[in-house]
Amino acid sequence: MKTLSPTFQGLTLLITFWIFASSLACVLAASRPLQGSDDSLLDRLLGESRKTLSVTFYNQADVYFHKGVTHTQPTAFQDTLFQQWGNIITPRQHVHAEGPLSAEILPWLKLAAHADPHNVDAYLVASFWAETGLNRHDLATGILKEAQRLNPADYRIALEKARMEIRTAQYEAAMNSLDHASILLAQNPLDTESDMDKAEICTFSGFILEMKGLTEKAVVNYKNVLVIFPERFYIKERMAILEAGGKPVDSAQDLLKRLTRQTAHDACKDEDENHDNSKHINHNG
Amino acid sequence: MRQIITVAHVVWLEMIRRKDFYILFILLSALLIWLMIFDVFGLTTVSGYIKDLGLLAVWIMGWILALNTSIRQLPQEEQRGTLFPLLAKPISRLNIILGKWLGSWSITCLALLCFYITLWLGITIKEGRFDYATLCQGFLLHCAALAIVCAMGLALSTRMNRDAAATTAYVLTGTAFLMLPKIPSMLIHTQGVAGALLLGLYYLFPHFELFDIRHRLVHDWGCAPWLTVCEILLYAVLMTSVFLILAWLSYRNRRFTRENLT
Repeated sequence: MKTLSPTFQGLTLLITFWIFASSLACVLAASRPLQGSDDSLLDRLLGESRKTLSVTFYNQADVYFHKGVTHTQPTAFQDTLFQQWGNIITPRQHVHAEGPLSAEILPWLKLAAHADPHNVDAYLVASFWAETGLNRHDLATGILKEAQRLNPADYRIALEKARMEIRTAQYEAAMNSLDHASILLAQNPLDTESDMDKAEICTFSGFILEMKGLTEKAVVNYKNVLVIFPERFYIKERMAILEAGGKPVDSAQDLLKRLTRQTAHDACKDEDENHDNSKHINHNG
Repeated sequence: MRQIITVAHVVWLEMIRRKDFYILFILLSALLIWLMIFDVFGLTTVSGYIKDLGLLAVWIMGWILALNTSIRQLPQEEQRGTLFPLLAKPISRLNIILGKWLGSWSITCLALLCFYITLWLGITIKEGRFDYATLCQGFLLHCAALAIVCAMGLALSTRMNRDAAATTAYVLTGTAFLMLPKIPSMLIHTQGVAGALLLGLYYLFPHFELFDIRHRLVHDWGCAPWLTVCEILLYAVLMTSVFLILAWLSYRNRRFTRENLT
């Protein structure tokens, strides 16, 4: 056999090292819990590239949710032959994967979490999909446990756990998770979303306390919500009714169910997405 | 035609002797095995990510193989001195070019077939499935794209040494694949000379993205309309012909001296 060309040798070595490095990174990242610190050797070696890789995989999950249809960009012209062919070859409909197809999203979230175990969003979305898309409560719980093992200080995991427990009507457990989330949030607030999440924790806690008949404690929680978001009139009204000794029209349980019932499709509707919405289909596979 | 096939036959024999294909095959198999044993939260039936990453690997490997095979043909003959006995035979330079292209392209397609079969096998083991009609369509379009890549590589190697041609070809084909589909969006914010330049590139360079129907295979969208596929195949024939004519024009009057022998 003849020797390889230098270019080919270089490319082969590059690909081999790349596969080896990614495999090693994934194995090392998953084999030991990283305690939220960025001082580990692995973090120093791979740095931001690991996070970028994780974000890429995370975004790929969104592409899979839309069955491979990516967000369209505005263009300077639209009628060239190449674009016409491209539009026929590449599907452009706004489609959602449902049912068994939802499972195809999870590998990308797993890869995202593997590449960067601190990418808590990947775990949260994965557990959400396992719970709402696949109806696999056991799987969702397992994912959150793994997330908590790797990110013990992150309040979002406890909050997601609470949401899941509310969906399955485990209100006592949900209250404990909300308390845990509240403590973690006070200790480690994030730059963004903290206020929104704090308000959500207080709202959920208020509703659960209301259900238990602890109206005064519920009102304290509602007051905390109003400190963050004074414009929330429905909380104001509810608080006023409770303080006057009345009974609100919507029960706390109904509101809790409504607030935690959101599916991925609802979340997608909220986004300003640039898909061809004229053909919005849900595929069950 | 017989002369063309004889030249192509030499390329096939050389490819069988070299390690390129075997190494790429081992790399693809290793990647597939890693993907297959990758634990996805305990779910055993998901295979979309294997299709996706496997097809990506097949595309990258097909690209590498096509460029390496086509680019080394002419400079190698020149370096070894085997070009002189070849040119001394009653064979036109056009036939040499066509034979080298046919050999490179056909052997790359054969290797590609092996890659696709390996991927299909991996997916089947993982209890996934491919739509066979779409798979055939994908393979056909992939082969058409590689025909352009081989012709382009060959054209560049007529006037450059192997390393220079390889670097230029990798940059050009890579840029064409990644950048051309984005040019219509880029032109919104780019005007003047830069805009005209981008527009020129948009129409001149081959649109490899048209040959890529991986998303149809991965997300079970089914076959693309055959009429459009045929039009794209015709486009591939046109682009391949353009590069082969350029290669011939560049090669037909080129003078060789034995001083360049290494």
